[in-house]
Amino acid sequence: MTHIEIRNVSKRFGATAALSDVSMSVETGQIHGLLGENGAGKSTLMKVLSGVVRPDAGKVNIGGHRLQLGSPRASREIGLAMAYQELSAPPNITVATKLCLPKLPTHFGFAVSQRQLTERARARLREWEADHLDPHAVISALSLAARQEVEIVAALSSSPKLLVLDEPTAALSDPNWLFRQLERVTAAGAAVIYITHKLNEINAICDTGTVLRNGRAVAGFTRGELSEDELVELMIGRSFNHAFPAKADQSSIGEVVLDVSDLTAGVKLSGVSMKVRAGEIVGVAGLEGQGQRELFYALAGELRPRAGTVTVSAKPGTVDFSLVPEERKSEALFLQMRSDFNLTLPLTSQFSRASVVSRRRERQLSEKVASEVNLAPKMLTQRIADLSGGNQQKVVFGRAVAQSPRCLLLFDPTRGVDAATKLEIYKMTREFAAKGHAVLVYSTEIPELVGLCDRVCSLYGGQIVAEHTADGLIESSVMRSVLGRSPEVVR
Amino acid sequence: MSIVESLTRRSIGTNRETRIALIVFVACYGAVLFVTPYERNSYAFNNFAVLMTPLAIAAVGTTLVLITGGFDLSVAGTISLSNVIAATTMAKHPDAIPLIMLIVIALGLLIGLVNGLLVVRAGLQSLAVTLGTFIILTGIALVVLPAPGGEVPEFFALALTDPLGPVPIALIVLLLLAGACWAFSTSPIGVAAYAVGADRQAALMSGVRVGMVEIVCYTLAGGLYAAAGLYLTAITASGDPNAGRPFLLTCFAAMALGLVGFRGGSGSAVAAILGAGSLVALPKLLFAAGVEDFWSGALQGSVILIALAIPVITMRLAASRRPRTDVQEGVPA
Amino acid sequence: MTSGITEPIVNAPRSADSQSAPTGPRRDWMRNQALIVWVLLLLCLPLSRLASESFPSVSLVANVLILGLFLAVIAFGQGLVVLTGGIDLSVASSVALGAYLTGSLWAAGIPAVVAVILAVVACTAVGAINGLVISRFGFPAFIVTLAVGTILASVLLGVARGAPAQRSPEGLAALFRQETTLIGVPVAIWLFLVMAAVGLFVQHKTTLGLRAYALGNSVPAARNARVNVARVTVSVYGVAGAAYGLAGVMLLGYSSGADLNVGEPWLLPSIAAVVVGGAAIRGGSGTYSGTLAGALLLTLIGIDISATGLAEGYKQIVYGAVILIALLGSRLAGRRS
Repeated sequence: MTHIEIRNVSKRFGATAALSDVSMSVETGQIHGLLGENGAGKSTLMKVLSGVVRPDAGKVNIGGHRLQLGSPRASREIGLAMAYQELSAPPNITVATKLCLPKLPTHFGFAVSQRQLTERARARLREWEADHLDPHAVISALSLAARQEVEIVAALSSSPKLLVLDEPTAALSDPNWLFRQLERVTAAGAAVIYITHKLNEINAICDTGTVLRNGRAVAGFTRGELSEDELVELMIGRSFNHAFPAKADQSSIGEVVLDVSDLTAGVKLSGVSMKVRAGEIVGVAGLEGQGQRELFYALAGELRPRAGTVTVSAKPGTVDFSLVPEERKSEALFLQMRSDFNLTLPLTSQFSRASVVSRRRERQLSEKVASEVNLAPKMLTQRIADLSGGNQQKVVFGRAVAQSPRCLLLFDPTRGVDAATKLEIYKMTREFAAKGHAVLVYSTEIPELVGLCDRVCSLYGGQIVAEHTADGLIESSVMRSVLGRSPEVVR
Repeated sequence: MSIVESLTRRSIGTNRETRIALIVFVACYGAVLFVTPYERNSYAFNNFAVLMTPLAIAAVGTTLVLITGGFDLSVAGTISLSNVIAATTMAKHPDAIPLIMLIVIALGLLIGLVNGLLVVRAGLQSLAVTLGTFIILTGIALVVLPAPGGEVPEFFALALTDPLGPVPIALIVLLLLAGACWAFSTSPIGVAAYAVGADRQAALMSGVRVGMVEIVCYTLAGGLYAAAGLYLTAITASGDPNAGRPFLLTCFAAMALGLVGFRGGSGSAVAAILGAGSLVALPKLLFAAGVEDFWSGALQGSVILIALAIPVITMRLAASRRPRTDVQEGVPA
Repeated sequence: MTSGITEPIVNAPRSADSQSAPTGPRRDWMRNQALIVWVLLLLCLPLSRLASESFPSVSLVANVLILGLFLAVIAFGQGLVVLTGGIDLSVASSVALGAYLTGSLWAAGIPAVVAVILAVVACTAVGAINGLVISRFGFPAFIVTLAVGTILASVLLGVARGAPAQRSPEGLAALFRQETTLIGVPVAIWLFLVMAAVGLFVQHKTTLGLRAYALGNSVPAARNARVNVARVTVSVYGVAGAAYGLAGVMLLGYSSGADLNVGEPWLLPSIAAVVVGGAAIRGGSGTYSGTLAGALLLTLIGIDISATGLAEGYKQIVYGAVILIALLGSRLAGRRS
């Protein structure tokens, strides 16, 4: 008996086809995994289901009833509940309020009853094994993990017919908690769509699944039917192992370019020391909130260190650091402007004299930088908001590299980027390092770090707890050390 | 939890702004009382309450809109229009005065509704739209009454401005207003309005009917502006098509003194009432101190900047005093 | 909006993001808005016939350009500020400062040219103060400029007391007389053309202009792109202040004298011109070409309505309606506000 039917859903954003003719079915009481790389269309599909985005085509049936698309209220009323990746709680409300929205309990329909609100919230937290959360806490004061828990409990509490979770374990400290609740909710008859790019989770809990790639549903599978490698191949369209460019051999690694000593910054970074040499790509691995953001932003000059020193050698390069930040949409892109503007803004000295801009030289410069990152020239005159995530990231990357930094800082550079562009970025990173610059990379994907970097340092509790090089640079070792479970240098 | 806790704990954030606004008001009005012996009697107090009431009512309206993240410049136009309508009709139909008042307020609600629809349904920026409606409303007011004039029956003026025994009617109005503000902020719509102002997308995803909440806020604000205009008419006992013009700046100044957050999603309307009181008290302070009237603007502007600085200063002091252990993820961008 | 420091675009735009950016020829809608307003302007010229039998005429065009000069200058300043995501409410008192200082310094014996320069410098300083407070403390531009404007107005009142009206230096007043021409064209119109050129240049061909666009789009992204946010903010508000001061000087000459209320009628029209010209109040978009068109359109409509002999009230109604129509128009054209 099919409970949820999604048929032929398509959606374009500008020039990009986020979803093309996607169809899938989910049975009652089952967990259906939705697998795909960042940028494959998973979040867009979810927004279509939740009514926040209206698709260009397609229909959705829930339990035999046709869902009115493009209306968050209709989605709610039909029994859909969402736990979003971007976390959908306004920062100024309390946990209790978030858990009870949109129908807040009132005294005679007039004033919100705080007592009932708190009781109801506590009951929900208790029901879903989350009563360590304080109902009176304001959302903005919570850690990312706690916010994700609130998001999930809010979705679970609405007794949904269909529960859609988008990367729900991204920030959770204990994923097993979530898996237990999902077992209970499916036993009670709900269907679950579980969106992730983590293969181990798919195998652990999903009964069936669909693989999305570049906006299309390329395969459906049942549990155990496909091996991990097969899944990966479906996700990225080719075998993973050959994805990374060759690493630097010892002879091509030069002098120390970046020398960090005992750097302490913000709340979380407590004394980190490292050296990065010319030609070297050093990776930083770590779970959420171990100080990596503080490290990168302090180096980039956006956060003032409390202690420690940073020394950068005099050459090569024009500026010391250049940062590709975590969230391009809010921290790097000028969304209303064209791509060429986004590409060349930091380089005004190269196309202006005495503050006067030469449009001709600006255009030449943008064409040059664009060609260096393989961006089609026609994209230069398009609004950057219309470009795909991968191309947008290439713009940010190209702009960072064009500034000729001595040390390039990449913070999660392939987030929300399709597989093909990821490979380009790896290649460009290696080429940049090979020119004699230093590169420091942070990524949430350990396989990526292991594949791309010459060395990986694991950050835990604001300090470097392990360093992996050569033969010691394997996934399982790095995984152990970021969980804080391994000592010293691992070779 | 106890009833008191249940009533005072909010669904959103803290009461810090109201406390600071109260301190500012007490400082300003207290200074007036301190410096001027002849302000310390019930007649002067009544005067003060009367003077601050129109601004307080109007400031509550603009606060309602600002909480959702919008800027409502039409306050000045609606006040002018209410004023001229009252001044041109009340004297001729003294028996129909309650009806006139109802019609004026209904008109204000309608204007607010139009604003809300333009902002929500047409997706226009609130500052730009309300600028347009403000100018149109001023024009209509000028057509109704091209030059200051008109009159208002005395009993109407006195009814609103005289004390009722020892208690100024204005004070009763202000207290009712404050009560309404508190009721709003504890109501589901109020909570929703704060959420919308803080993060519209997140509120939408949480199931809040964002559009409806915004439209309601603009509509209520319009009604409040009309009421403010009526009260102003009682004070001036005459009509002026530009009567509302000063309110454009003083409303926002009152909100600043009430520490209403200009980015939306925070601040309290009660604090805006207190801010209005502070703003009205300042010229009195100058007058009492023998300073010429010219300088009142400078004082008001400076106090506004100081009021803005207070939360910044207190936060810095608090931050330096204790280590931040429970702070959220993320580095200041 | 209206912090001088723009928040990143995390709030949903009014239209759900199912209304995506239009493709194809509508892509450069920004420029389209300006184009639409220029077209409207040209259309309204023959339509002026409705207002008066003698319209349209050469003298009408001349009047629009001359009267529009002041709004063009003031709206340039306001436009730059709005571009960075802020708004400037100190317009009225800055204009008054420009006029007052010029008049009073000249009356005190200082050569007219020097007086003008000093006046503009003073207004630039006021603008820079706005920018400093906004960037240093992060207060919203709306309130800071409101407060500074109120303080300035009050200080002017206090200093001027009793002798509020200033007379204009003779040379300055002469510049604005109809008879004063250069190749047969009144100097005031030349000034308009110069302003147009300067405005277009500063907003679109200087690094300051580029960085202003960046700030208005996203302050964190601007920092990431090595923009000195504080310096750009101070510069933008400073330049705006200079524009207001210059307008004050011009108004002093045009009216052969000015009192402290000279700036009052210009704040709201400056915002209106910027908005009608297609700039988003949120910042980060819009062109000076659009602002110019908006300024001229509003000026033309003002002249037309005055010519009809309609009461002041109807003039305001039409003025406000034009603003709303322009806003709705740009919304329909670009599916974005």
